[in-house]
Amino acid sequence: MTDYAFYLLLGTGAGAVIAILGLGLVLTYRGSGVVNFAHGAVATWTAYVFVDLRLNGDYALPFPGLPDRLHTGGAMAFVPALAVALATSAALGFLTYILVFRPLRTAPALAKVVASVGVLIAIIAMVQERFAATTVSVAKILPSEPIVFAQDLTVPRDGLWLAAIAVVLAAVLWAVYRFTRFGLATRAAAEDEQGAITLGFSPDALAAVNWTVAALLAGLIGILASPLTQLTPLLFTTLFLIPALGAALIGRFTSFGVTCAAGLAIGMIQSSFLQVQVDVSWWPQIGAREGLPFIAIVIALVILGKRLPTRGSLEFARLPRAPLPHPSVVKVLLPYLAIIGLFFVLPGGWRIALLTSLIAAVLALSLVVLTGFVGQISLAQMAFAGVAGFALSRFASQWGVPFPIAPILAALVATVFGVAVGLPALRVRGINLAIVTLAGGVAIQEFVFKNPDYTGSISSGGAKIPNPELFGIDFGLTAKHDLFRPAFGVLVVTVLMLSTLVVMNLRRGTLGRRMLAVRANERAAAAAGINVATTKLIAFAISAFIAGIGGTLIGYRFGSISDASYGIFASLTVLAFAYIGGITSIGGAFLAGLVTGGGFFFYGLQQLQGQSGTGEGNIQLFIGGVALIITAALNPEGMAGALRDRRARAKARPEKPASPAAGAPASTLEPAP
Amino acid sequence: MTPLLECRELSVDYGGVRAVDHASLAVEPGQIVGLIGPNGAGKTTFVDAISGFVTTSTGSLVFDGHDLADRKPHQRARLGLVRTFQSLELFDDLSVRDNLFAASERPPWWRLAGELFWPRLGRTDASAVDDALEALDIVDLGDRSPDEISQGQRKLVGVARAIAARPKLLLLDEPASGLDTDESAHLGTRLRGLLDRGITILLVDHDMGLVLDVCHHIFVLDFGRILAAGPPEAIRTDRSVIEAYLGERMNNPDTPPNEQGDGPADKGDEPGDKGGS
Repeated sequence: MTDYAFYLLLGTGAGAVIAILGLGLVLTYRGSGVVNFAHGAVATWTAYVFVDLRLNGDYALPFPGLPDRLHTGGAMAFVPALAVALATSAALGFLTYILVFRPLRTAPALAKVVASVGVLIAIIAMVQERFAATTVSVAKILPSEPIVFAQDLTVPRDGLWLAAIAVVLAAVLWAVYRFTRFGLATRAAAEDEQGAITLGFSPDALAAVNWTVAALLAGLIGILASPLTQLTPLLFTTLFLIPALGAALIGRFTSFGVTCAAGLAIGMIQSSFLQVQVDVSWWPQIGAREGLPFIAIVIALVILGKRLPTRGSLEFARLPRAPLPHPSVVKVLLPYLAIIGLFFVLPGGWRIALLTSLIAAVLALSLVVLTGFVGQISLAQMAFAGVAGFALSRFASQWGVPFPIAPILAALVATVFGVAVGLPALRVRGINLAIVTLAGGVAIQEFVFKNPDYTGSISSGGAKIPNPELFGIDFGLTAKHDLFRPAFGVLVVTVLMLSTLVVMNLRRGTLGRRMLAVRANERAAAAAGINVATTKLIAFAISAFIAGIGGTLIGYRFGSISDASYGIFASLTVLAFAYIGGITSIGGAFLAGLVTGGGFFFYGLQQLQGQSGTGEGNIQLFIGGVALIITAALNPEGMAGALRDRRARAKARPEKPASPAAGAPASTLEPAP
Repeated sequence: MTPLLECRELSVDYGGVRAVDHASLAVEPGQIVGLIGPNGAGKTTFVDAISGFVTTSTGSLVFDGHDLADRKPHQRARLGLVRTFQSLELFDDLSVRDNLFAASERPPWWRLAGELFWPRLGRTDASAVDDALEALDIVDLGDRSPDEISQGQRKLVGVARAIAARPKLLLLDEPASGLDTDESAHLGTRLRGLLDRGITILLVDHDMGLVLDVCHHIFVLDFGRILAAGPPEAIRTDRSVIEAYLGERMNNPDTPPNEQGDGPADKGDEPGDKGGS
């Protein structure tokens, strides 16, 4: 039993990180109705800034174009470094609210989720840009000499310190919200913004303060926790943000006490799994730790019904229009043949960029079906792609299943995962669904992709995938001396064209009408005899299938894959670029592919500027993140919508009459029983 | 004759509030049956209960020989029990015709799947949609988008969409709200025309004019209870009904003055603002 006591006590440190991040999520949500997916990234940035100050006395600037670092000359002392780092995190929180979420106050839930993903991408891109080369060995901050509980029960002290800090913070926040005028005002504004305004409070100012405090807490825990573990760019996002979301959900994004307790509990239980693994033979060796928060989230959301409390603010905007495509032989065949032609005439680097764009377009198409047509959000598309990629490796290289059958079977495996992650969508929507799919994506990543049983060990070069061959023709990208074979381009563009035709048929047919009906109004759709649950699941299935096809293309392109090929961060960038392109239209998916990181557009830009180097990928990501925020705020129909509007204005359409009831948001409707 | 729809002792509770209280009602086939009541009487809740959008705490529902307990809204719609909504709940991203198609199409699963690869497989019979557009006299709106047409036209499209779903019983929740007097009279004519198409109607409204004009049989709901039932002539003169409506004015000019003599038509309430949407 002392083994378990040891691991439970050891887990208090991780639990405290989860708890304090969870407190910040609750603060942000109560203050502004935003679930901040970038919360962990703020902790990461602050931790790196602190470390850099302490070790080198350098202050990294968070925007590209500025000088990389301000030099203060020599390592900085503890207290000033702490003050500067915390001020940085507070400023990040304040600016994020003022620049991003205040303009999005009345935007639909999807736009807010997307914008917060944009902030996350931008911050992580800058972390990778500024600190990728920084080796991080962080000196202990909290006292860490072991504490002896019993003869054979000795635990390092710092985790317990962190837990104590978490409890104190939760108590302080509780007291502030309970007893001060500020807390009262925030609670009032969360219930009813209009009411709070009439009482003389400014919801904007309240939100800004809450954001600042939340970011300050994130920065603090980032600094305090980094000595306990190895600091990596996505540490606080993958390892701690998901369980923190789970803890905040258990606290209904309202209760500081419950959130703190749940966070500590999740961390301690995760830690105890290390011992369970030893004691229980069938316990999974890999992934149980990350699976726990996913299960906690699903239980909290779906079974206990602990959804985010709805906020008393008005959301006017609806999802952008999903235009009816008018396919014709010319419109489909001409670009198809033109792109094939490009593969034969372009030099190698351009071919790779074009491939990246085409594969990204396939992935974006998968989101057009799910988000564009049915209004469901998924932050796990790349996880579905990865499932198909690893399944393909198994089918093709181990079992010898031939080419067109193996990738189709692999995509069907992804479909099964898609439906499983989509099941909670029958009960939850909007932000809640974003949380479930994000947690599901991370669970798949940790449980499946990091398990050598499924994916082959990294030492043997990951999971191998043979070149696709059909009728004796090799459609692979590389063969012997040829690194950029056009045959693979032909294959990819053919797959993209077929996927596009399927999605066009879908939009024009019965299923498409049903999906748009469900997106517009679930109650009315049910009243018209449409099975809302089935329609959503079909959308998840088709979307995961297309994402899976995209995943097999990624696999064929690289020839061997590892868990890094399909990380959760890639899922977020897929959503980002799909949204920028225009997530409700097929043309938008193509534009998404064009502007995707490493794709045709950025490669062309680099060629024009004659740049080369390692940093571009991160700058492109940063630009992508910022573009995503701007798209969410100003132009929810994306680039495709902007082009459409321009054409439409040229045609001068008749004026639309204002319909007074059209503002009723579908998102406030309760699900049909 | 067996009723098409029979509700027995139906109750609906919202928290501690009983919105519908042991209400019983039967709809005979081939009739237009009215359900009226003052604001807050529980009319919409009653419609929600019949169409499966709220759970009932007591009572039973039998439609066309099927027990409706445990049937979800879309299953009830597929049995032929189709409702409209008081507020404008059209599918804004679909054209008017596609709104109707979404309700009328019931292809087998293999056609749904096949259509993704071969669109011709999905070509469904348009007759139900054309019929519905004709029945409401809105054929010319077919290719418009719902946000380009007037409030009254949207209302008609809502009814047409329900008809396109081939209902046996059409549940109309305040179809006249938001319509002006002419439009309301026009709607009445259209509804009577639906009877010839074999559609039975349960009309829920507080526009007494429309209801008294077109219904064969009327139920009066107040505080969640059925207060009175009978043919329009009887309802017109029923004391308890008049009392329930005291304070509210009878909206119809040809409603006889009630016996208390305090019911002259109140001109302040134009038809346009009686909608609850």
